[in-house]
Amino acid sequence: MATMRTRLAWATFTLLTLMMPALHAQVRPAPAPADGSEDERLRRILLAVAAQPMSGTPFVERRTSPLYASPLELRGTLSFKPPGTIEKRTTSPIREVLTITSETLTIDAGNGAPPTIVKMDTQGQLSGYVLGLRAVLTGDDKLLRQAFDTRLSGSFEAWKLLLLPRGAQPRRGIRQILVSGVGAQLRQIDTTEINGDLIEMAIPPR
Amino acid sequence: MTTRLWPRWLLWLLFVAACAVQVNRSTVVTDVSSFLPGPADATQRLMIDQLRDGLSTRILILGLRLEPAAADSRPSAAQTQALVGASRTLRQRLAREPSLAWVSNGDLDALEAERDRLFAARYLLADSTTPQQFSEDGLRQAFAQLQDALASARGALIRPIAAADPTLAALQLLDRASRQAAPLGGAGVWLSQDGSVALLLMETRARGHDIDALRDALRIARGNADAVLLQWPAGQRAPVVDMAGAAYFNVMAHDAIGQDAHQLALLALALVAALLWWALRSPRFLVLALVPVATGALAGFALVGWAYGTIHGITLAFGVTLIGEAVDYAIYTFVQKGADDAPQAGFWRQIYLAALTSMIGFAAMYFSGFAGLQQLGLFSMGGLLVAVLCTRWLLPVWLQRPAATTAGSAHRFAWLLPLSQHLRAWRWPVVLAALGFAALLVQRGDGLWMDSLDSLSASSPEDNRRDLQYREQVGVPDLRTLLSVRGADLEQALQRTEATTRVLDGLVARGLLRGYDSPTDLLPSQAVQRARQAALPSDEVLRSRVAEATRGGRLQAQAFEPFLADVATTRARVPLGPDHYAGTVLGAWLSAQTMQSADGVTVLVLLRGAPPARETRALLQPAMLPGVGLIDLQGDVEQLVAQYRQRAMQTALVGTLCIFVVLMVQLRRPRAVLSMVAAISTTLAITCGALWLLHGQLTVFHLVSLLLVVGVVSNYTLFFATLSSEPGARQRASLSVLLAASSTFIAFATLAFSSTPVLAMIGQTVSIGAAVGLAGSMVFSAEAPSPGA
Repeated sequence: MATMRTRLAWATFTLLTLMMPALHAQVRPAPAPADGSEDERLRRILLAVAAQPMSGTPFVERRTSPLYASPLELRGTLSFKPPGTIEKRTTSPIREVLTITSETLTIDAGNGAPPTIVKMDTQGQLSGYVLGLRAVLTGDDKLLRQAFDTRLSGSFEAWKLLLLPRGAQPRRGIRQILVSGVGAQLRQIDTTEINGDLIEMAIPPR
Repeated sequence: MTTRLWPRWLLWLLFVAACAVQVNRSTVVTDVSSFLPGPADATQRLMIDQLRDGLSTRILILGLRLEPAAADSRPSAAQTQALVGASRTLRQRLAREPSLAWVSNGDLDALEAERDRLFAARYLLADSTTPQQFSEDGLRQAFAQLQDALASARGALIRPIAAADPTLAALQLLDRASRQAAPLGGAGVWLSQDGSVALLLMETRARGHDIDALRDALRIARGNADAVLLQWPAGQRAPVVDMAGAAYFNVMAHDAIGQDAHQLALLALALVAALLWWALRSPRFLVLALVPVATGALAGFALVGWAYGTIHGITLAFGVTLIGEAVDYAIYTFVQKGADDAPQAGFWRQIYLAALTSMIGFAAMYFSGFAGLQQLGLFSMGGLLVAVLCTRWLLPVWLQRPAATTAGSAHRFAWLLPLSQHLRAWRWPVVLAALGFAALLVQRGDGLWMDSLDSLSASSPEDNRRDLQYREQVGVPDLRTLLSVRGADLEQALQRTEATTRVLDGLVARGLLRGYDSPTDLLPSQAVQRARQAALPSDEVLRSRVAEATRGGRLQAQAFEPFLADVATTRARVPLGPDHYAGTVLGAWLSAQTMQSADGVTVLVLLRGAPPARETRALLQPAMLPGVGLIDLQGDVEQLVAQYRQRAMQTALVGTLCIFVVLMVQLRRPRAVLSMVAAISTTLAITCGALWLLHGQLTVFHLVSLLLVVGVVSNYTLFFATLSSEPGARQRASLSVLLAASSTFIAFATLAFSSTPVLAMIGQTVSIGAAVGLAGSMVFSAEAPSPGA
């Protein structure tokens, strides 16, 4: 039970990952594709994705789990409020607002109960991932690489980025994250958990 | 003549050797409890055991503190990160140290073994294990809640345990634990608010009174901390290592008293020697005066060691007093004996009488009832007796002085006699002032006295403040209010504890109590465990109920096989015993809170945020079932100290009366005795008044020191009130008292600068008392015969 906090950290991480597409959903003219090393291509994609503003972007999240007879589908919207606040608003099948800043994670069921707040600036295991994800948001590939091994494939028009957590594999948590996109748009984030759950978040093109 | 002295010195050598052997065999202790009176009943005995050896005395808190670069700058995120890393590494290292029972840095992930044992026993530990919870309805509700919870962002928290624990019994245990534990903040380890201090909490295996083993544990903890800090990023200022907790303070107090006693004794010795050299100019006297002083101190220690087996640190420090007191007899002998070395009529009788009155004062200490003060009394009586005997039988011949010295010192102190005659005019103002002080003090009543445990504590206020701060941050309760629940065996004690905690739950719900830590949270009675086992349905029944409960929902019954297996295991298992937690932090805590004795088992329940003792007692009235007692360490100790103080006051009065009776019988000079009564009484009143002005409140140590004041001042006034009519003898007697009082004053004034509060109190009281007493003795001295008579 003591790992609750760690698990919450993982949850945060997952959610942050899930939100990445939304942050960058709005399309911009893609910069001209250019050849170069994988590092360079990744940097270019991150910069393009990071340049997208976002507000109220719808998402569909599908969770498949050994616990479930049929997959669970969540719907809602994602917003990014500069400089660093992310809001995931779930509307169905439950109502809940999750707010993430660089320092805290807040879960508010909106039923008057006090929200759950977790401070995360110094959470040892979390900080690496948070740093990495903030790196995606701000286009900082160096920070991203501190937390993950990255593997980029495809072209700028249709790319896939595989993120594998760095360091010793935790007993629980995330096995891998697969981010895919079209140019500056994030389209899909598939997170595979070690316990066999699969969370697929799709941001439909608009 | 000198040849006849050799057998005496040989005897003395043998005596010294025997004393040295005895002293060497005795151990030195410093715990406060030995300064408490013997326990009157079982609860008091338990209380004193707790003070001596209880969990609270074995707690050690270690802080890694970053010194701020500027006055109020906060550490950078990177620094805090490094601090958290150091905390984790240090915890791992300390966990391997055999001298520590357990160590925690707040990192719950590090407590994997503890978590696993709690999780394995969750259906036996949780209140929610009821027939209702495991009924069809109960399970349907539980699964519906689980489904919603999993859909929430919070779901990530419960997802890992959902298959084995769909009723979330483990969360109930987590809630209970987190209510008790200190908040962690976001760092995952205990950090101070501003992120500048990382804290680790540990318990030593050494018992609270085993100072050497405690010191080893401290050294090991600090050594590990230093080793970890060697890895601190180069070029940055590494954190400092702070320590707190009773284990630390015990050792510090012990060492501080020892060091103070040692250093101050040397300083006092040097100062007294300087004074006597200046006054008497006799190197031989200085060397020889050491003989009664040192022999007396040694004999005192040996006597105490022989009688008690241990010597309290405070008694040891009191050795300083003998420098000021035992040297007096050498001074009287040296100064008062006539230049021709003719035995003075009645001189030795007067010396013995002086020693006797002093010893009556110390006897009052002995009969006070406090073990520690009995030691002081015994020490002082034995030491004084031996010092006087040494002076009488070893020194006289050796102390022969050249006539020149006498004349020289007589000349330099020619002002002394006129001064004492002049002071006689102040008799009535002094009496009035003393009466004024006495009235003032009597009017203060019990408010004059501070009886708290802190007044007995040897640690400084700053240390206490830091201790309090650290303890709050790591969630160590103040451990001052606890319930003891007694039973014929463990099962009965646990059942009674459960009945008691039901009352406590009511108080917590009403907000009258912040919480409590009960061993039954970890180890419910067999009866309760069996009832919970009986609430669990059989495998087939549970299987069909789970299938029923998940029907129509998203969750699928097959996923919950781990739940069925765990319930089946729990039903079939033997109820938990203390061994379930063997080798874990929980096991260490449990064994500290359950005590086996010849006549049964006592379980301790710690109360958190309990109101003042009297209110708590009233609130707990319904909880006071058979075998239950409330221990309010602070309040009970205060009560004990107050009781002791009253008794000490009575013995002091009786002692003073005895002194007067002895004087009356021996001297048969009512006028002289009346002067002495006046001198002693006014000295006491004025000294008390001065202390009260200095501190606002007096402690039991002031009172005890006053007994010592009575002892020394009775000597001064004895000589001044019985001054002979022969001017040379008058002069010598006055001079000897002046020197004796000055040496006492110097020795105790040195002690007054001790950093150990108890020693400082004793030093202040006696130095003020000696000064006032000297003046008082002169004020009430015998009238000089008029020149014409």
